[in-house]
Amino acid sequence: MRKHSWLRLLALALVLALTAVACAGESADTTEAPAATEAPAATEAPATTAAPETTTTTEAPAETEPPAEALSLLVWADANRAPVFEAIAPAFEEATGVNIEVQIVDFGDIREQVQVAGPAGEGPDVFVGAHDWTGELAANGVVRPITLGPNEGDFFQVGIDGFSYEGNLYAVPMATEAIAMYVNLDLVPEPPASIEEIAELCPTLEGIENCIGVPGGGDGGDLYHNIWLITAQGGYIFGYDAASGYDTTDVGLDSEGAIAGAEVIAQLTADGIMASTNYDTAKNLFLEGKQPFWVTGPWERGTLNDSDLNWTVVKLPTINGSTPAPFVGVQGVFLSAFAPNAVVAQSFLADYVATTDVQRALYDADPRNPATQSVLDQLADDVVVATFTLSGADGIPMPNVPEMGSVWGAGGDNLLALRNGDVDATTAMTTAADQVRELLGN
Amino acid sequence: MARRLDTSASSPRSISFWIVVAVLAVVDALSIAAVPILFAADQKALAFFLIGAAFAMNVVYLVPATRASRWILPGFIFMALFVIWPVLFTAYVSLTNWATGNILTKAQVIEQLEEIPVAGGDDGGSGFLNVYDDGTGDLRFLITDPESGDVYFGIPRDKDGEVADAATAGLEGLDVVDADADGTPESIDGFELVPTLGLFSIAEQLGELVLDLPNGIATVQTVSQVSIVQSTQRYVYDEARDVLIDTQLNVECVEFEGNFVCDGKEVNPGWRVVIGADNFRDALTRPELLKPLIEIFTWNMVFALGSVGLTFALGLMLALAIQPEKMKGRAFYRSVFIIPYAIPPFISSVVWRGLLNTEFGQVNDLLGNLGASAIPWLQDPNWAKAAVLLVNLWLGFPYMFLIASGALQSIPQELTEAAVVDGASARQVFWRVTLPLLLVSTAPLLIGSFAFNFNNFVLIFILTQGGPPVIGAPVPYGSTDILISFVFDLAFSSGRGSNFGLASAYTILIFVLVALFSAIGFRASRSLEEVYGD
Repeated sequence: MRKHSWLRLLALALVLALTAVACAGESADTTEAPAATEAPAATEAPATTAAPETTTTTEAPAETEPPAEALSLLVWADANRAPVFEAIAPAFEEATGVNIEVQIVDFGDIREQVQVAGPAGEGPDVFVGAHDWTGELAANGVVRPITLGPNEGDFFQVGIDGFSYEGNLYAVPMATEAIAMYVNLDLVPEPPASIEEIAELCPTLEGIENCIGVPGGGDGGDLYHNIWLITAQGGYIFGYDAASGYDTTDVGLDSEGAIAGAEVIAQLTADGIMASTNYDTAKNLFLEGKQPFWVTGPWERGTLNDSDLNWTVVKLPTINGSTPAPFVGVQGVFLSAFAPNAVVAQSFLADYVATTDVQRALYDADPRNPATQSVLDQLADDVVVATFTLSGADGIPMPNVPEMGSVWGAGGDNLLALRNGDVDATTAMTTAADQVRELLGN
Repeated sequence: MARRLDTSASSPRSISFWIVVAVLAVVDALSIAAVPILFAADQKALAFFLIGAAFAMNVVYLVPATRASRWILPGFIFMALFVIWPVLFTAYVSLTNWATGNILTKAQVIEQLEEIPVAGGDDGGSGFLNVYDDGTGDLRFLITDPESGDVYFGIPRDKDGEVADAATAGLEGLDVVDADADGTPESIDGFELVPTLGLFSIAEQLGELVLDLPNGIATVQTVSQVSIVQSTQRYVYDEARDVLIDTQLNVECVEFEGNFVCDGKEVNPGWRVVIGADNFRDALTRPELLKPLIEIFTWNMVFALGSVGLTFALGLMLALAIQPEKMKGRAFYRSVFIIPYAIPPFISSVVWRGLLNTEFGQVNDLLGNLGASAIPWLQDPNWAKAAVLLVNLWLGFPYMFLIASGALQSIPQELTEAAVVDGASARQVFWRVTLPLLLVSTAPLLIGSFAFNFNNFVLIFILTQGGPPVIGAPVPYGSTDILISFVFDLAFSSGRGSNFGLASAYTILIFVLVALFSAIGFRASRSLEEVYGD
């Protein structure tokens, strides 16, 4: 037994020795162990190498040589946009000495993941995102205000408004999108400009199963695709003031204009002009040539290009002579509050991402509507882009306040009930507004 | 006995002992390497847990007296990490204000607030920046007002330093060289223009520098642009008194539940803090939630019990149907029945959503060919409930089929034969002998299935999203919402964004409910065991 115990001591010594070796050496290897055992949410975030190793020398280095320690910038982008950032990386590195690293993160996941990875010091320096995240991200303190730089005048105001929260701008817009109306030209060679004319035209058309296809009926509520009917005559979601932003205590879903808009929905439904279609139904009917009009966004353009239909796109029809205002969605590039070198990241946004060339490349990678006048000018011959942009110009940015979370469900549910004919217009809108007030504790 | 095992398994001379030593060495090395990383990532609890776990491993595997627990220890460590820790963490979160606006730590919040400047007002705005340097790292800023064209040349100071005299306008009296006449001098007073490449390498330093101008303070935004502010720091944190001073409005802000509050207004962002049982009070005492919660709970019970009952009934029927050994093609049937189990439920739920579409779904097409009118599967409250149960039946019966097949094998044939000899009919044999014996062995699994279906979020979320909506409800909810899907909507898409604290409080309440029902179920099955068990 005594013999055994010195062998045990030897074993212990060996353990300690190996430990020491491991500590001294392969730290790169061992970092994988903690990554797997960290807080569950954090493991989702891609591991990054963005350790703050950007300590620059206090002396200004000689002009000729790049600094010894390479600066780097971590970009999170979706699979469509990532190649654009990868493409501009070499030129940027040559001009600035800053190395750009691009990580592909699913667009829908970025919102959650930056809020986990950022505070933990593992997040990106800049990341793509949608403008309706702005309120949440800013309120949480995970993004930092930016300046647009010399190219500011080129950006459409709707994009800047979309990314502004409590007086600060938080992202460089890169794309806007708003819905408009696709038309089957074989069924309707000359699309009318008002909903009243469409309502007269529809009963005369033969061989159709539905006339205007608007998602948000059937089994899936959808406030986004129906809001233009509500806003046309003055309905609104939250009171808005250019100086102070949204007033979430002022819910306008049961305002006079909103109820008047809901009456139009009820009438169109009752007359059999706008059936209660969900997204897929409206889409399929249009693609099968059984529905002359389809209200949705530029993301379906590719689907139509692949079809044999003779189609075009027109602005949303006027209602009682008023121009409807669809929701405008804006996508852009945010600056993380946890970027260790904010000046570098801001320079990247203002002096590179905001330039026409990069904006054009971003458009080509994922064609929606351009965010700048100069890219729109380049696309002047494209009637589809022009129409969607015009439609967006009439629109309002989707409110970017975190309180919008309470609106989507309440608005979608009650408009669905209205379109299914279960409730009348006044009930639908007052219930929706009451639900929003209840959820917000107003 | 124990002693003999001990010596055989851990004799220092045996190979297995040295394997244990090697494995321990690797575990220790990884643990010790991980600890500083965890501390750096502010995961102290995990770091201490890791130290404790590694220590326990060494003791248990090297000290003979504790070797008895060598098999249970790794299991316990993993259980602690993946079961106990999440439960404790959920309980902790339910006591905090963790929600939109309160996700950072207090230190992070203060750091951010202290970086907020006082905006420039009417005089403010932005300006263009050029940086000059004399080769020794001594810098000069040249700032151009884009509107007036005024230029200022001066010595930048540190952001936190004393305010200096404002730089004077113009470049008179300075030795300005602008060889290419592009308006940007290449050299001023012996200071050379720093090119873009050089600017990026000193960008971090530039971010800390400001230049005092007559109309404000120029702070560096990008390497070529400044914004002109009244003060570089609006909020000052007084650590000694734990108050935040708003220097713009000249008020003191005190802390309240994770936010600084100035004159009744919360300053964003806030931080996470324990607030006690507020979330539970919110979850339980909102009167307008009472009616929805009762309705949802009732349907939740119907759904969970119905799912278990239907899937067990169908699974058992099929198991009985292919039980006779003389039946041909048993293997084939068995494979076919298991197919739904092999497809991930979130995929089959999407497929079923399409199949059940009122206008285009194949289910209604089929029924239409048989002469039935279109059924509003996902639009009518009752049909939607039926659809949910049917789809869950499709998803769940293979599991029950497998269980029932196995359990049937284990029922001794003598018992059923004896019953037949005693004159029992086939029906009597099933109800009096087979089923009770089957229930003894499957009851725990049925209870597990109940608990799973009680929280079957994926199915509801994908198939119906809780819909169709209940008309005229005080808060939005749907006819097929179960507690967990309703709570998900309430916590993550209502109010002001996401509310993790409230979500955790509801989760704990649901956990208590499920635990309660499971306990009742186990008690009932134990009485079954007393009657029919061995």
